[in-house]
Amino acid sequence: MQFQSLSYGPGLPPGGSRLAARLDSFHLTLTLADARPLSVPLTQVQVAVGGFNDTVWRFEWSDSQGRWAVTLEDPATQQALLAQPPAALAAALAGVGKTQRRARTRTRLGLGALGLWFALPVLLLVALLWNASTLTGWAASRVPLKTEQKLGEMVWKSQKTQLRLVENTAANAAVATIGAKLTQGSRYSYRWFVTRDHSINAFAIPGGTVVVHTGLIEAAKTPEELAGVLAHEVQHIEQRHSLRAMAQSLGTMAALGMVFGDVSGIAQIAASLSQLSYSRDAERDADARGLAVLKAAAIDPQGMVRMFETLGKESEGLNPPAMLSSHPATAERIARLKEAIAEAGSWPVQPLAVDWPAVQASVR
Amino acid sequence: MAMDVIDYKLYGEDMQFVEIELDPGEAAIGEAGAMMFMEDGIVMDTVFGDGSSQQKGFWGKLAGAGKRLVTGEGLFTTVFQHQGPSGKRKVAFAAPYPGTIIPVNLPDVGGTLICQKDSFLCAAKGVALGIAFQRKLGVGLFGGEGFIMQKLEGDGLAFVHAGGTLYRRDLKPGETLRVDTGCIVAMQTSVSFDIQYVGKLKSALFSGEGLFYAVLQGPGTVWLQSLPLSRMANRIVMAAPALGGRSQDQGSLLGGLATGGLLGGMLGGDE
Repeated sequence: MQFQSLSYGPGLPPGGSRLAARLDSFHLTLTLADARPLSVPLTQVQVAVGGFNDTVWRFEWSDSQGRWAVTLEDPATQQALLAQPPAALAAALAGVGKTQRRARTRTRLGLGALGLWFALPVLLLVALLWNASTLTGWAASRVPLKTEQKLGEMVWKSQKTQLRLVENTAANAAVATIGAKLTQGSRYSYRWFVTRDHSINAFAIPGGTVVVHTGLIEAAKTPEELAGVLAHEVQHIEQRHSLRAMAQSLGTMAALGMVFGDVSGIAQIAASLSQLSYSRDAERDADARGLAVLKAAAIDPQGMVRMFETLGKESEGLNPPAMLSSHPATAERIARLKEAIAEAGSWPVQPLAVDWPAVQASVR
Repeated sequence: MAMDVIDYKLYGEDMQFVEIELDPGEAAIGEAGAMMFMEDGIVMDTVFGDGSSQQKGFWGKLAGAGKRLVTGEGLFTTVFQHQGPSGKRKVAFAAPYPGTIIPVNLPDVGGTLICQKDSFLCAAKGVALGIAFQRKLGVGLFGGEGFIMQKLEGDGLAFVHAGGTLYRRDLKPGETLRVDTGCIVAMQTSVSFDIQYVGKLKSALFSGEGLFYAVLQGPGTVWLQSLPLSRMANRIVMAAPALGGRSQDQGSLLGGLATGGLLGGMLGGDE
């Protein structure tokens, strides 16, 4: 087999000389510059892999003048030689082929590992976001009840100063009565508050505090409508949505920090702690679970639907109630709710024994 | 592929420039920003890619330009062509920092030269600038040159520049040379490039030579630089109090940490 080689040896230029080489069954023959052939028996020839990236084969031997090396870089010729090796070099060439294959595998593995190393934080981030609800649920469930109550107390203290609480009215009693019906058997001890505020809203604070705006009581036409909203708010507490939101924002911050370096972390964490707006998913969750509680307490679910419809009408105006800002679109919520009610089938309903006009009058 | 045969003359000792003499119609390609002067009759043109005729079509050119970008060159190459009717005209290219320019006649090294990123200065038109991707993980990480080196291919003359004094060493078959990882400038493809751990923890930590040597094994020719730019920059920064003296030697993980640390700042100062 004939091939073009870059050859090195005594008397050849130090940068190598392009010479024709020929391999037959017993000899490697090099045609030197002056057309003089240099023949060496294959039994004296060693084969090695080398060069930048191990792509070069070297046929090496020594004579009295020094060491010779005939290099072969062309991959096609290498393959041809591997397919039909001269008998004397068969074992050596097989070894060389094996070395090259092993080097390629090692490269692939190494680059793969390197890629994985750099991709790992990104993969972690994706996994975290993918399984966010499971992970945050788990994290939130690890928080002891006492800690949650302490946290809730802190939030309540800061909120309290901005509220104009209404006390000892028929409305307080109604909210507490209906609330008690919805929280039977709960591990939380609930506190119910009414605050003078004309926006249609109610909110829950971790640890079992629910605050109802007077605007909500005025807008509700029946006690069942109030019960619908309370059922929803209670579920925010029962499902620890605040803690989950906190875990999620902290976890996301940590993961983002790992991937992109410092995101001026503490400031952002503090900001997200203060915001703590429930995610839309948490709202849907609270809607669905709230409905289940209404069923358990034998309360008419149409109240919840009507309340949402009132909210929807309100939000068509220029000033949507503050409550809607972090919530799903009302139309979507109503549709979902109706679907869920149809699915659950009708259940025996006990009208709530509340003198509603008197309650409304007490907060006017 | 016909290459332009160019004549050249090197000026200076350790802040060199190379003056290339072009016959009518001949052209040279230069690294962006390297041109020092050019005579009447030489027209400068900017081409996308490396100006070699190997790259056919739009995608070929785009690939060539991408490769140049990876090796730290610009997307465009500047071509200097003698478009005058007769006579010889000169264009000169200057080295960007103290060092030596070496002319390499590519046919003398088997047609391909692998060199350090950024070391290309200029060449006869037709020399292709490609990348040689380092497939050995250890060498890529600790060999001092990273995973990407530059590959010059063709039949013409190319000029490579590196820091300090350049040393050409012809390795005989099987001969090995252990080199500081920052000092490799260029080598033939037949030269094996690997790394070797210094061997002793004590040396790794306190010799200041870094954790690894580069091991070059012949046959073939290698070029070494006596002063890697990063080493000089390091000394300049260390000597500049305004910059805080933070330093990191090339190829040395712990050396960088030690001199960058508080203790190093006190012990390692050499003002």
